Amino acid sequence: MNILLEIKDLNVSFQGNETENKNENKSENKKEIKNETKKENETGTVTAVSCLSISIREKETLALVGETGCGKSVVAHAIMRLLPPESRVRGTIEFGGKNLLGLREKEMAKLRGKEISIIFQNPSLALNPVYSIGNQLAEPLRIHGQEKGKGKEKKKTEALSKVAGALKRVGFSNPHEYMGYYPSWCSGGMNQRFLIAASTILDPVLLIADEPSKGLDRDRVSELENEFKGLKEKSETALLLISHDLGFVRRLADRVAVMYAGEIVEIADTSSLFESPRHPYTRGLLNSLPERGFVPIPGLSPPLSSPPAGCRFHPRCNVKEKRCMQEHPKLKESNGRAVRCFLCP
Amino acid sequence: MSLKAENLSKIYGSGLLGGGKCIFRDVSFELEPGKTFGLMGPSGEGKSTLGRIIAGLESPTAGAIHFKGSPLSGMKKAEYATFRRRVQMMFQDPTDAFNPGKRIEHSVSEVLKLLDTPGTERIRRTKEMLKTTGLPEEVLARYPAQLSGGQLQRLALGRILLLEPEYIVLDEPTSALDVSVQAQILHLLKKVQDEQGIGYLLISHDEAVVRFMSDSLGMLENGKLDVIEA
Repeated sequence: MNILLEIKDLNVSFQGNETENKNENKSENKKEIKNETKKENETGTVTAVSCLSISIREKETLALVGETGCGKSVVAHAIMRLLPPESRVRGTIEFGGKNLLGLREKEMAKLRGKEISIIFQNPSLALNPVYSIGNQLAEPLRIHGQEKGKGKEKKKTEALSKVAGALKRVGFSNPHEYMGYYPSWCSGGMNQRFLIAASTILDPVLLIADEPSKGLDRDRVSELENEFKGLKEKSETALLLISHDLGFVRRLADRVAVMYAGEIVEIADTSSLFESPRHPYTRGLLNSLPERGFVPIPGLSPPLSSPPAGCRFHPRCNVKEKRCMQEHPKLKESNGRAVRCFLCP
Repeated sequence: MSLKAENLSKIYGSGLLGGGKCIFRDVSFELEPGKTFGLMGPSGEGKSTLGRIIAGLESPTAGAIHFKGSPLSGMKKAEYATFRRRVQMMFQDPTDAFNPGKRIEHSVSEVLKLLDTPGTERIRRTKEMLKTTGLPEEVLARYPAQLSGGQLQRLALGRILLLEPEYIVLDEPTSALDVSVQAQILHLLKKVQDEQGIGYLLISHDEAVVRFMSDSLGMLENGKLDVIEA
């Protein structure tokens, strides 16, 4: 399969408070890049994502997993170019031969929703409470001018039929009834399905799902899983699945990338990762699962404003060596998987 | 010494015109010190409503809560204040539990100020709380947005512990957290229960979490509570 999206050396940082920013800007031109990391840390700048490189193949489901605050959602927002203006993004995100980070906002707006779409966390907040579901589902069609060059009535009929089709695809057998509903009338699970319908109405080639199962009960998670499976069968869409629900990831993903403190620490195909995890953090993460007795990883993840020297996981690692505390390991690739650890073969 | 729910019913919209939607009816169970009662059930069945009623944050339509043998409805103001202090609630999303515009130190010390704790004692108890919850002192100078979900949930529990509760209603305490942090919080809750003898009402839709934590458990479904394992 061809590569659909390739992220190379992505760095995303957020500046600290205003005074700190001023100091940083003053000294920025004078200092060399090497010194920048140290300076950023001293001034409270948080580097949420460091030197991240991953690729997503056509029709593939790639899962991004890791602890809360490790930078998973920041990667999704960087792809969509939805990060706040105060963020500093470096590296490249190549999609369809273009570097998304180099596109003008107008060009990016043409891709957003049509070629690359996102399902945000918390469906109740992602939907507008004052517009009907039908209206919100038709929005991507209006924005991307799907109905151009036709009469008003014909456009409306076509839009309605597409919205109905999208609702049917996510399991609403009576779509015209649900088009008149408002988000507050519906459960979290229903709103999540409306969001999936809205995000896939234009058949994007890449769908990003940011914690889609968060806060849903077991039955709703199972429904959601079926939605994604159905979507993959019916369309050519590739999926970037961001989740901390490892069971959900295991059942859906083709490959899994594990993130820790802003870095990728392991990438492998799903069965290899769950059956023979290599990085000590991945092993710890899997041991925290209910079926393995909720064994916690000792300690806390480091603040991204001042990650430890050497391997970022070393303060919590039970197999660390002297070298792990001094040198920062690189992501080593072999036999289709990659691990960032000196102690892994 | 227990906290007892007796024939609790909750009906929304039961005004002068009658009717209304019955959420649950005749729900009875008992919380004991140092023990956990796990409450499971699908979304929308009223688990959180029941938890809020137990914590005194909402009133039942019918039925009674007995705290140490006395019904809540007959309590004097001072007795009720004691009940509210001794029965606390921990919510699902810890980010909503802290004022985003104030440093953590402010949110923590506010609780101790309400208890008229003197300054030096406030510092001692805050340090002790951080030790219990396994957090570094640096977190006090931070804003909620600068902390992870796991750190905030530890702080939410720590702030509750400052009130020396006898019972805590844990409403989906780990469903917003990832698996590794979930495991840490569950072990912390167990450790605190062993050390301080607190009784928990654990509300969760995650059966594995409920079974790991609970001494007895019940299922709230179709408006009824079935105690399925004692």
